[in-house]
Amino acid sequence: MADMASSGARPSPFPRFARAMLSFTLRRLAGTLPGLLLLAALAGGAGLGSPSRAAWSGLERALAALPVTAALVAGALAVGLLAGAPLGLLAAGGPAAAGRRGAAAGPLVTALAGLGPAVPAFLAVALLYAAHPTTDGAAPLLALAALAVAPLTETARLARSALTTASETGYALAARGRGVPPGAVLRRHALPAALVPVAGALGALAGALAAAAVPAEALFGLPGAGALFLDAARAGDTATAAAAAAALGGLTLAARTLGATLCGWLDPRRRSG
Amino acid sequence: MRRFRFDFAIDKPGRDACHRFTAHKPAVHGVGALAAIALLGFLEPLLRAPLGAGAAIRAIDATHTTLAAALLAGVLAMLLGTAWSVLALLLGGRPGHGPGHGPGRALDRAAGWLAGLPLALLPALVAAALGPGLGPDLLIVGVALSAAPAAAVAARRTLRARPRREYAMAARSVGLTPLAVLVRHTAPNLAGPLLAALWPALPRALAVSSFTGMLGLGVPPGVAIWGGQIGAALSTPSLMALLPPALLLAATLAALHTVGDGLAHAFDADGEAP
Repeated sequence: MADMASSGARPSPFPRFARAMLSFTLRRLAGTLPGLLLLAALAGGAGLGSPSRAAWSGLERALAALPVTAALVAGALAVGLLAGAPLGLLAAGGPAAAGRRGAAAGPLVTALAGLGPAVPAFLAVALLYAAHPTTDGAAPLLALAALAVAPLTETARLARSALTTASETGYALAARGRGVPPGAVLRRHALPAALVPVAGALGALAGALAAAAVPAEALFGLPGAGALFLDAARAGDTATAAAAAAALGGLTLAARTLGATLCGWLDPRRRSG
Repeated sequence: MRRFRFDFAIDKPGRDACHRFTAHKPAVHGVGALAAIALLGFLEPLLRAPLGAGAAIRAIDATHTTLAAALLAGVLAMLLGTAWSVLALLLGGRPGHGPGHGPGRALDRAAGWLAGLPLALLPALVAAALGPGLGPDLLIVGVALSAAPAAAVAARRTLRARPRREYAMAARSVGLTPLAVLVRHTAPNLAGPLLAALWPALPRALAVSSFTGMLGLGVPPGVAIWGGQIGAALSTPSLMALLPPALLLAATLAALHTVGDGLAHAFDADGEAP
């Protein structure tokens, strides 16, 4: 330490950042646990009218089927975010806005922003299945493509409005006033702030996709928690249906925790909350 | 004499809000679209001859039932959400601990937590528990309960911001009782922004009721709604039978969202001038 002080070398901020992020992540995970326990208790309570073995088997089946749904929802979120965020950022502005890519992205994002509220995820699943009814090897990809429409439109809309706002904030204008190149302003100041709302929307998007996964899995023949929920509900098996719904709720809570962690990584002000 | 944008001697907040709403062209188009869709149901006997007895006429026939169920569920969700937020505001914080703790804050947290869950599955779960004899009123209540937490979160933001406005503080400083401030100042100024904040409950209720109908759960036999027709078209599956109810549903959702954007623009829920 004395050598570092005498030589003038600055200690790396990374360990402090890593410690802060680890502490923040563990706190968010700890905050999620009561919710998960409550969902498990609700699932158990819904099975009170059933023989105890039936209630437990419903929970076991729901947890066994959850990875399929988790993979479907995570894949749809990833496709939607990776496709929608760059599209929205291109449409918003920055150095590329004056070029052809930015000019073409603007009307496209406007059209997508209008399409998003009009076509919810379950309707996109229904339209795609009616156009291409299949349960063969392409079924998972089709289900994923149908579910990815909602996060794509929402992410593009959020990214565009967030980057437009972030580019006009005081700190971005101050950086440009100091002579920082526009690309550097975009990369170091506006972009992290613009991605915060996108990361924050992960939880809400996961909730919508978890519900839309029910018809998607049932129609495309995927053995997930959504299909289990629908089969149990139609058969009047409340215990299994409640367990499957609780499993989908737990998946949503996990996605919300991930989104909050990403927000904390991008925006240091959120780590103190 | 230069006329300011808002002349306190002439203009009223309601009239100014109407001007801002009508200046928002997508919202005006949304109102027109909603009126046209509602009118379609009345024109169904006239359209039956040219369209025949196909999926299109069945979708038009289901317009009023679908919209009525969504409207009832949406309004009920708005009322439940507002009541939830008002209760949280009244309960407030724990004495001596400030507004950040206590039963009111716990209610707010519960609303936020519930709003993040896939509550669209709630009506289907209720239908599974109560069996096929579920009446339409219980389905409407189930849809309203699924949309209420999000409405409570939206109402919370509006209710917590408005009472701190300068007019409420000025009224209290001249000696008006809290009830008089509420009746004469806060409530009239809250009505518009609250409507704008709660409006998304309507498209949410329509989407959830259509989702439940598509799953084939909770809709009584013989009751035609767009979601049930979409579900029936998927059982075949037939894209031509799916398109009319799907297009009507998409058009109604888009119109409701644009009207909501117009209301937010008109009443400017965050209180700043647009």
